[in-house]
Amino acid sequence: MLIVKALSKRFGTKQAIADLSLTLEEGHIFGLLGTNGAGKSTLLRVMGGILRADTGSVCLDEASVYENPAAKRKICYLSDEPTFLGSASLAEMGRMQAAYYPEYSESKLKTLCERFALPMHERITSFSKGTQKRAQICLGLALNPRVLLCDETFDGLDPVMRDSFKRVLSEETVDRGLITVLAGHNQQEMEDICDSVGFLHEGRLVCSGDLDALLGDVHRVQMIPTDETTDEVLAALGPLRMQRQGRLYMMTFRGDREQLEQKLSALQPLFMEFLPLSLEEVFILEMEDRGYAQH
Amino acid sequence: MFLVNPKSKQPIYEQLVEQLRKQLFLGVVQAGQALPSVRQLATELGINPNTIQKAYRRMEAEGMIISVPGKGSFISDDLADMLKKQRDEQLEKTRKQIRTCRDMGLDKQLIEKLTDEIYGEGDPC
Amino acid sequence: MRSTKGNATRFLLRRNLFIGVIVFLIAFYMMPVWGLSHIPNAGTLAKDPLASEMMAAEIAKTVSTQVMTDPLNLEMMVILYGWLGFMTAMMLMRHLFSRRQSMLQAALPDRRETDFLRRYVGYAVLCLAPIVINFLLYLLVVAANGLLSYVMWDTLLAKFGRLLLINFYGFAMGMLSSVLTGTWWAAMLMGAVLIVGMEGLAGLWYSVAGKYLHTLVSTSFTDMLLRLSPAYTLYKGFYRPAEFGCWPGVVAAVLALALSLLLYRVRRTERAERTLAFDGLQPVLSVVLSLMGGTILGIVLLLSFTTDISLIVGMVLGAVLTFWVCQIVFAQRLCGILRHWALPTASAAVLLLGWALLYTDALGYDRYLPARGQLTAISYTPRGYDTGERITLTNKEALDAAYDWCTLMRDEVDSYDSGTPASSMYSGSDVIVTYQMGSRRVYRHYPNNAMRTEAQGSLKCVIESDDYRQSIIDQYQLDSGYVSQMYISTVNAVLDQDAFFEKFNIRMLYRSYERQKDGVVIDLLLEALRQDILDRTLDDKQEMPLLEVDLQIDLPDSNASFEQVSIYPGDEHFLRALFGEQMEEVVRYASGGFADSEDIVVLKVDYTQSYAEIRQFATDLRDIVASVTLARTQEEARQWMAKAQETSADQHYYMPYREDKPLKRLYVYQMSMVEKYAHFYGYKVPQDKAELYANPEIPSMMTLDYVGED
Repeated sequence: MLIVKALSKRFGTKQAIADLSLTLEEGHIFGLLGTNGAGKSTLLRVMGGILRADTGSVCLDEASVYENPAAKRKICYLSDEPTFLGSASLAEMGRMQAAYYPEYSESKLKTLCERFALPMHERITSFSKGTQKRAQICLGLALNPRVLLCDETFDGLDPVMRDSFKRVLSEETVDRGLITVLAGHNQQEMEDICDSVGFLHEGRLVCSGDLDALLGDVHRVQMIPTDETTDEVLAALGPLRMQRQGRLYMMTFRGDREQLEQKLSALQPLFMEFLPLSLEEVFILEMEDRGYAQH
Repeated sequence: MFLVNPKSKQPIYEQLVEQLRKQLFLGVVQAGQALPSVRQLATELGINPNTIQKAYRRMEAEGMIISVPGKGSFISDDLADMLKKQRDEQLEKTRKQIRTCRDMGLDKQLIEKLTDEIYGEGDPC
Repeated sequence: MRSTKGNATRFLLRRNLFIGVIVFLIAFYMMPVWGLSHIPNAGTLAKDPLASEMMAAEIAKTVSTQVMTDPLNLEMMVILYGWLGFMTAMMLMRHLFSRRQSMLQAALPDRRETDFLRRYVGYAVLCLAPIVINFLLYLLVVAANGLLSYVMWDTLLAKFGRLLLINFYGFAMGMLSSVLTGTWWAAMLMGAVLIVGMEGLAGLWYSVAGKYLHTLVSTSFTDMLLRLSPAYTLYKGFYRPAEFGCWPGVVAAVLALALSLLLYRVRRTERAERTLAFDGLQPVLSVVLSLMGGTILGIVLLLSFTTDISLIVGMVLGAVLTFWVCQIVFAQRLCGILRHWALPTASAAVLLLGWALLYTDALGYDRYLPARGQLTAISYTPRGYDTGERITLTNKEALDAAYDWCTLMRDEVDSYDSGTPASSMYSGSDVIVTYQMGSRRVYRHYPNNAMRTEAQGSLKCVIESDDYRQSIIDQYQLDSGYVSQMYISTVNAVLDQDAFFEKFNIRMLYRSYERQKDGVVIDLLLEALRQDILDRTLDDKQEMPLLEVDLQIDLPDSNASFEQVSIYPGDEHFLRALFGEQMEEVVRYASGGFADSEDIVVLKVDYTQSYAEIRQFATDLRDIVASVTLARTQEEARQWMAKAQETSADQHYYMPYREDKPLKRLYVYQMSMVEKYAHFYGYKVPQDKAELYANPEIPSMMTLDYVGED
């Protein structure tokens, strides 16, 4: 279990992470969403023991991660800018990993490289950006880590490779109970693969939790009520938001869908439709709920 | 056996449950048939195994499948009750809807025509 | 199963093997290759039985030490090996200069201290080992030529050990610089600051202090460096390993390594690619650099405008500007000069305070005089005089007299107005005094301008003391037999040197003696000189010297040194040993007797001002002539000459200061010369010889201050 407790990290005058707590359990994939500069990379780097937290802690099985080789051997951080030793090939990088990680498996690297169509003995820096990313993923997975921290790893991968990566990730999650954190801003990707997500805003986790719960808890309804139904009646139902265009109302509610449907049907609207909400919209609502400005 | 549409706004686990339900009603799957393992399905579809786990739990709760620890999940042997219950529930829902239609002054022929139309479409799968 | 730790170190070594190869190649060129190209010659010499005996020392030198000086010179060697160490450190720590590589490194499951030690092993294997291997290869070359027996092991090993130490010091400084900074350039600069920064700042302030403190000894700065500066002791110690302790270097290197380990542990990964790795370092370094910048600009402006104001303006301006530049460099972007004002103001204030302390000598540096009771010895060296004596006095009587003399010289300095530029008070000849109190030494540098006459009593006591005489005998090595050559010449007392020696039948070519040929003569003359020195009184030494003896002294284990000894008319033993029966005749001739000739014309010129006035007002002598008198007879000329003293008498520190009476001066003309050059310089030889002085074109052969009674 990877536990982040009351974490804060400051760069000069910029508060990158502020009092952030998070618990990640084995076999789960956590999606970390957030705008640019929200502190996603910083959080991952602190979790990977690369940066030292100002206050708070990151513990893997109750052992602090920072400067703790035993814990760090189980964590793999895939940087948003794939970095390799100067002029190294995949084989060379493999040798480095072999030197540092007892769990590293060379055969796994070979298998992965075949699967992802990567040459083992060429200079990695001569690869294209997407290929470098693939190389990075293969190297990371060959470590057999218990925690995989991916910083925008999906960006720059073509759809086929994304799919392959997702499959591998699923495999590892089932087989070894891998803890994965996927940071990025592609919400669609997150919705597919993650079971829980968190939205990071100005260094704080605005909301986090089970993906389905998050999505299933908020509903948007488009309806044309009867003439007798006044705004007051609708407002009494407690929508999070209510907009009106002519006779058409657009309302957002929180709560159980069936109950809501019954309540609204009771008003006998002329037209009523439940519209799906995207993860992003849910987050924006959540942020408004907590008093953040919309942008 | 399962297909997932990532573009759909419907949660993936719901998609899975819905698909199995349809297949059961249509008799595509047989009682006692083994379902793919979580690992197999997750790898195949490239989705989070927990989602599949969740879908399977839901199916089990609804009586569609049973899980045998260490062996996997199977289509429930005793589907008849479940199917009947679900069909009854659906019938009750339809009854309510038709009543609403009547109250709203919709013509009876229109409902009959609609019914013929939908039944005429054939297998939705 | 292989140990993971060993593996990681091995991986690091493999990754950085190229460093080892480069170091190996450089060391290979500097030692074995040099040996291959030079040592075979020595080998052939050694096989020749005749040559081998004569050239043994040369061969030993070639085999043992020249490798440390050739083919590149010594400085090059020191800098190169120090630089190799420094660069090895920077290369091994190069991940610190790239944000991405830092992250990559920091992500590895490795404790920082383990990682640091790995890099230390990396240095030992990739830098030290190639150097040692090449040293062994060099010895192999020596052995292959059969010259192993010629190797002076202590010298060679001492030098080689120093070389390794220099390399190690460079490495330690490189580690510290790398850890403290986040870019290549910053690390290089930091290295420069760490290695010579403090020394440089001290040196600059030493030169500022030298402007205001009259008694500051310029060599004591080097002295201080030799005791304290790691870089300087290592550098000097490489020349002369026996003389300079290596402890400052070793201590500094070990401290730097320990500090860099400590800092490496707490260094934040995100500081890569930032100029400085630690926030706290920014104000410290800014202040240190702005102190340096202020001092440098102050000195530059002082050199251009030579006023105190220019120094002050330079200091303030330099401090503020340097601080600003530092801020720009640290922030890696342009920022306003007034954004920070407290620290630059503080460092400018510190500079001004330092200046004020020196200007007013508030700490009483010039006034210092040790308590008489604490003194165990006084050593002094007159500088800029005709004698280069180095005297050490320990005997109570001599010590007391010297102390009185020093008190007088101190009082003279004390009488100067504060802020008087020190340089204006030096006539170029002055005295450096070392007060020894037990093991503590204090150096002072006295101008010795105004207190000569008052000091006569003390100086008489000093100069006639046994301590003084023994000091000189020791300095000239008169007892030891290390004098290898002697060369005797006349001082300007005699016009024509060759004519002089010919006249007295000294036929030796150049009057020079070498120990190999004339050992007996040298010993005889030196013994005579020793006798004379033991007999000399102050009065004897205030006569005009007749001869000058140059001694070459070859001490074992050292280069040749040279000493110059004056021979006075009173040095009977030496003169008798050299001239035998003719001695009295020689003295008579040399101290004016040569004027007893038709060819010589002596004029006495009386001036209206005293020497002190002339010096003070920088008067042109020809404007203040009172009268010109021609010696009426040759005998009178000779008498005048005997009572005269050379015009540069103040080059003898024991001479009384010139009297306050109007100056009289003798001008000696050699008529044959005057006529010879008349055409060349275009002057007319006057009929009346007394008018020779009136024409400044006419060259006088000798000028003497007339000190005798009329």
